Amino acid sequence: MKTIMIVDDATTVRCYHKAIVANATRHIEEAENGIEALEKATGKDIDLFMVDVNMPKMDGYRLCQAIRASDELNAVPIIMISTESETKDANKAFSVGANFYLNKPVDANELSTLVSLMLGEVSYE
Amino acid sequence: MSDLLHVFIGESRENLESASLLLEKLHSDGYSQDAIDNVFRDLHTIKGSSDLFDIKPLTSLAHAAEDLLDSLRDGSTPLNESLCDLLLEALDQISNWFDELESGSENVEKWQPISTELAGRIRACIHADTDDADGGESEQAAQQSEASSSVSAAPTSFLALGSQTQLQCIEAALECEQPLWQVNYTPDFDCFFRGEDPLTVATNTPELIAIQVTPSKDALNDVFQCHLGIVVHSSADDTAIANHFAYYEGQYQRESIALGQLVSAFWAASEEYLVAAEQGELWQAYLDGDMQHSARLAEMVGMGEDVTPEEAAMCRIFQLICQSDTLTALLESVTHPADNDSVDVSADTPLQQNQANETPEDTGVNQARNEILSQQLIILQSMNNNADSPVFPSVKRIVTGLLGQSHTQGASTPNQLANAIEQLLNATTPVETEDAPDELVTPVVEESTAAPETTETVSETAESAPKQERQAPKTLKVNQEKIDYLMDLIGELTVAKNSLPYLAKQAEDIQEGRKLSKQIKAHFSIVNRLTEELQSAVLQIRMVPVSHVFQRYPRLVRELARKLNKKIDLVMQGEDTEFDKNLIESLSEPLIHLLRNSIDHGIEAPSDRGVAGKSETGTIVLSAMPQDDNVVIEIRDDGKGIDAEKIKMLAYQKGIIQEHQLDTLTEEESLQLIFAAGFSTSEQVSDLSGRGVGMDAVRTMVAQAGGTIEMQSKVGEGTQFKLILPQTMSVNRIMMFEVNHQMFGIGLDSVVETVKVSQRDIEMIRNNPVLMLREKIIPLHCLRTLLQLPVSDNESDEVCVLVVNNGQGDFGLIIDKFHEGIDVIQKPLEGVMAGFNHFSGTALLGDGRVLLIINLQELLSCR
Repeated sequence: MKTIMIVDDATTVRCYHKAIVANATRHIEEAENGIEALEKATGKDIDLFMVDVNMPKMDGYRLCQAIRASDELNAVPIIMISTESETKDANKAFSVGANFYLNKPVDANELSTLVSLMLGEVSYE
Repeated sequence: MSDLLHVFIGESRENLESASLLLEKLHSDGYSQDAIDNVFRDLHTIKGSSDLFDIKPLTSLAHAAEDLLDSLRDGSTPLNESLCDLLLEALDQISNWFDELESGSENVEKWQPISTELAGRIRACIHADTDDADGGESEQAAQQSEASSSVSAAPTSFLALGSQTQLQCIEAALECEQPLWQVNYTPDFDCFFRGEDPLTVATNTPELIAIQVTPSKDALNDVFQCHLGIVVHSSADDTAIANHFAYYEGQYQRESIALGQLVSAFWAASEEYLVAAEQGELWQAYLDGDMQHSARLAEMVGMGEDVTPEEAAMCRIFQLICQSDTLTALLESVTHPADNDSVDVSADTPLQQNQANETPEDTGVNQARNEILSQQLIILQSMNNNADSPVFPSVKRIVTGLLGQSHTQGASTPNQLANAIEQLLNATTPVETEDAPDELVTPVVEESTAAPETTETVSETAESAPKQERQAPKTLKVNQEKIDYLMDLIGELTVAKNSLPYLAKQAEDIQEGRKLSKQIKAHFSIVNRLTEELQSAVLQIRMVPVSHVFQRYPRLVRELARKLNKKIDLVMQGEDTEFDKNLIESLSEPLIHLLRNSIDHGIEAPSDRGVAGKSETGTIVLSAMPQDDNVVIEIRDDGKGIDAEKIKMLAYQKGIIQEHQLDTLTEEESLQLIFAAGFSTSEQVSDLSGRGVGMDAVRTMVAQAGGTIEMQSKVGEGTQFKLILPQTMSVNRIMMFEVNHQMFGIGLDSVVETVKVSQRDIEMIRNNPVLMLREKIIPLHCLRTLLQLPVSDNESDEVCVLVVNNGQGDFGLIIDKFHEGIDVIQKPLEGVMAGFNHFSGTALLGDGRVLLIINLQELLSCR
């Protein structure tokens, strides 16, 4: 069972993303901001983070840094999903440790392929 | 409607509520960074989520509002009252759209004009201020950069103008290379009475270019009112326009139309003509880049004999464009937007910039980027098996952004893209690889330790309180229908439970049944207790604090007060009193009505208040407090009060009371006349507080919610309305009694006491029977007579009197026999019974009989 953590302060967006990636072999955790995500992630075997950028309390960039700085989570892949579509935003996301950067609204097909790739469910070769 | 849309609307409504609360706060308390941040985030969430549903008008409006907030946040636009109002207006609009969406409306296209208009006004606020700040030079630079990216189309209101006017505007603006101002001036209906002359105002606009006056549809209804829409175009600068219209604040909106927009509008109107002019020679000269020649040609063509005035104007404008480098560049970008885009991207490519001046600080980012690229590469390579499928757009965007356009141009399959990455990675394997990871880690540690502190500051600030409430961890959102269903079930359970005592009674009658009866009764008490607990638990779920409704009022009061030029403080008390959600919502309307009445008719104008020796600012107190099983809501103002004599006279003039009643009605009774249908105290009907259906409607609505309304007023001191409402609406405690062997019920909360007196104790005063009870006179009414039931001949000496209170005093009802109290679900009268006002409803008894419940108010009024 793989666990995906969806972090976004908008319930609608969480529902949407969840609807795209959820299936019987995946467990979905949700959090509304960075702090909550870190709290919920400790002690759990998270396989993938899907992180929004603009959130209250702790935004996506800081969450990424915190994940990369943590002993427990630093190897977990992160997909950043943001409304900002400029290159500098993508660069910033990568510089704080994101593995992939998508623009909102995400294409359902794209997200689902990406997630299965990142979870290693589809082999690279 | 899809589930996701439901979630979206629910969530966004919370966001809207929180944002408008914060805006209110900003309005009253001034600038606060936290509040602006939170409003920004609320709108950002709405915008981001609305993207999912393809509701373009909503997204673009939310986007505009978000941009304005962003510029408020970084301080480039100063906060002021009108901005708050504008944002609130946008929030209201969005909320209205949600209403429409919820009611199943699918046609979102028709919202576009409203959205464009509002978003334009919001954006104008951002632009207006940046224009002020920048000098002329940077303004031009900004316009040029605007031109080089993509030229946005001119506002639709401008394009709707006649082509003659359009060209005239464009020509004038291009001549001085100044952006054009479009002022939509809609004079107030009553502006003539203030001595305003809209037409003179419009014609005296500085640097006036064009003016267009459109009478609105109902212009002929009233010649004393102004029904004009005036659109003025001017090339004057921002401050000159603002100064000119300074006295007409609120009656006009202005919109800046940038040069780029003008050029694009010009091109749209004249492309056909220009390309064909002089057998294409003119256009060819332009394409050849010979600007002087094309300018001369244009002049010549324009002077020709058989050109229309419009065509002449086109030529003149074209000439202007050719003579100015800036304008030529703008036209270039309009005619070849695609070329410009690509030039732009390549100029912006971060990689090239990075390579140009790569400093050690960049290597961390570079290192990370290379890692990402390697990962993307693997992902891309995995798609090898279907190499012909197009690359996901965002993957391409990112890789392009990282690599630079030149590397990925033409790469449309994963394979090609992957090759591009591979090449690049091989070429730029960084030398400083060993150092890089450290640099990546250091800032990370700092940031993560800093993070918890920030959360503390957030939670300490008062502004974020509503946000916090919402994020309270242990709340569960449940569809209200489910709770209502639960409520219905409990209602039925209550009725079913009531049948147990009947069973017990029947058991008593059969032989050996006493023991059984005792057991049933014991069980009943358990079931009874459980049902009561269950009921109150479910009722608790539906309870929400009255602040839910109250929080809308400060804004209402403020807006109305401003409209009427009155100064009013709204004091709210007991906002956390809890109340059934359904009831609270049904209350919202009548409360608005009462508040409007207080503001419009109650509170005097500041000058009048001064004369009366009161402070200039009027106060309206809105309070809620629990009282037994009821909630009492009070609206109290310190205005001029209501004159009972005046009410009486008006009521007589309107035929609500008869002449003889003029003398007999007490002051108290006269005041109650305002609740009569078709009564308005204001001599002149104002647009604020209805047309005299007001108080009647309020009373009906309150009565529908099962409550009563009381009113007290003193001339010169103020008016007080008191709404007494049951805390919950579904289960009522009823007292049963018997008249002519028929069972009736009456709300237990109106029963004061039950007494049995001797026939001799009843005395007559002025032919009316009264009862002296503990030295108090209680008027008596025979329920049998009131209900027009046949008089029974059973003349016993003992009389049962039910003492009740109808809110105006105690009365005694003579009945035959008292029965017990019972919990029932009251159902309204339907069908042929609906006309009987003296019954408020029916209830089903445990043994299957139907109980009629008396409506005390109506009963006493029809005596």
